[in-house]
Amino acid sequence: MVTKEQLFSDITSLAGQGAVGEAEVVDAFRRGAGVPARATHARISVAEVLYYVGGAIVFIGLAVLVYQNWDQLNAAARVLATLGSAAAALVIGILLTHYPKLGRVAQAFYLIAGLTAPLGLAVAWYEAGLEVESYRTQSAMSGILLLTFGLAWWQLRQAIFTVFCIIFGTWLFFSITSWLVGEAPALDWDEYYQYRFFVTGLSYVLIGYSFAPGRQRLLTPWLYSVGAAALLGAALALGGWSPNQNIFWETIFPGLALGTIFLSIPMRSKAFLTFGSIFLMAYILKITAEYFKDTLGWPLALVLAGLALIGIGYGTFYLNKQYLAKQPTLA
Amino acid sequence: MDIKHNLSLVVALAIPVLMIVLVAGAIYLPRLWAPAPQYDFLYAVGSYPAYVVPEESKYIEHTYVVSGGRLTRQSRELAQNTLGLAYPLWRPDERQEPRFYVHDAATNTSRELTADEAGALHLEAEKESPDGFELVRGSASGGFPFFDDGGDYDTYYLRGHSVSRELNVKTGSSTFADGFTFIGWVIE
Repeated sequence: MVTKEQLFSDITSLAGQGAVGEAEVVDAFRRGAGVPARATHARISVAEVLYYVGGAIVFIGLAVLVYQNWDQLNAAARVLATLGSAAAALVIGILLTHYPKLGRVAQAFYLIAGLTAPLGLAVAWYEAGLEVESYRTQSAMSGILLLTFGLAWWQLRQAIFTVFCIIFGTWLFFSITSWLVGEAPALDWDEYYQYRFFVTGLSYVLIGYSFAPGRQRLLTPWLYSVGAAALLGAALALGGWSPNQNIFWETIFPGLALGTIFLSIPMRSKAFLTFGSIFLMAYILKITAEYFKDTLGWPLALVLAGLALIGIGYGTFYLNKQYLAKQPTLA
Repeated sequence: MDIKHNLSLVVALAIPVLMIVLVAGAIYLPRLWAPAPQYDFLYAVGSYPAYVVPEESKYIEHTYVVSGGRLTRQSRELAQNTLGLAYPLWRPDERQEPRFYVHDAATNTSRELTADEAGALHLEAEKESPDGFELVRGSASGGFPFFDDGGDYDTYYLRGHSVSRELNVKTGSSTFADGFTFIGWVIE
């Protein structure tokens, strides 16, 4: 049994490292006290924003430095300035994480490492005489980065590593699937991208859902937004345009969009409501232009489409007011 | 990791992995039972089927055609305009005489032939070979924001029986006028 002093000391230490958030501590307390856990927004402080902005500026500075002095630098210097900087930033971040008061500053160094590492790997590959643009190289680079930042997440459990794992994982997914079909000629690349964006969007939404109750809930709104936009955008594009439309996707799209809108209530997600409504409106405009402008005529088709948009707009407003505005939303 | 509590995360990660597995399966599994291509094919690199040769004060246009299963060459003198130019729209470097190659299906290699050797082959100038393969170009793909490898439009593939095989062929320069041109399947 830990003492109260020991517990507070542990919380202070973990909070300093960014390993535990205020909402989690409050939720834990409320669970013990028999009060239902509340959905709260995990927020980034102004200081943290400044750390991240600072980290991004350092990355830009490094990239410009290498670009401007590219011809003056030899191969070793180029690799050292990029990949070396990434490694150094990662090590500094890890060291700072062990100091509770500097735990937040470490995030800036992790950001520098995450932004600079792809550049560093690309420079190293280039200097080794390998083709940086090929899908095979892209797959190897993204795989190495995913493994590195995955291990860092495994050891340190920092949300910023989760972000980079998602980015590098997406990169790996697209490059591997492109590499695979390199031997399948005459492929409809547009459609292939649409299917992959659909899968990516679905994955993002599910990852966001799995993060919602935990301490990485800060990422949930972003994952829901990007995921819903990718999923619905891809589904809309897969429907195609008459006479080359895909009836399957055109038929199921309203179900997908309406499903997204209604899922916003149990999932308490404004992102779902917003993107579901936007894409349903886009679908109505597309279908009107595709099928009804020649039969009804453009003016009447526009009137009907406009009325449908007003209906969706009101429905969105009603759902938001009735179900989302009254209680805290997750995303 | 407790899979029960992280089911949505497991599914989220499994979906892209499943897609990779399905795409790889769709590409590589048919190779296990697809027949190997049996027929070699003849192709040209250069200005095919027609090219122009200036001879003294005349311009002679040579044109290759596959007729009766044989590659033959027909020639004619071109009319000239008032400046004495036969092909004002063509650059001189595009008027190169074509070079002929026969591609060995078994070894995936190409061997150069003279025009006479090429003319001795019995050809079938159909799109699809007698054993069900056809020659296709790679896609001119764009790239995801992270990268762009420019596609593989200059790569040729032998496609048939749900399988594609990349071909080692001579493609010349990538310009339309003097690149790779398929002529016909070698029947004997």
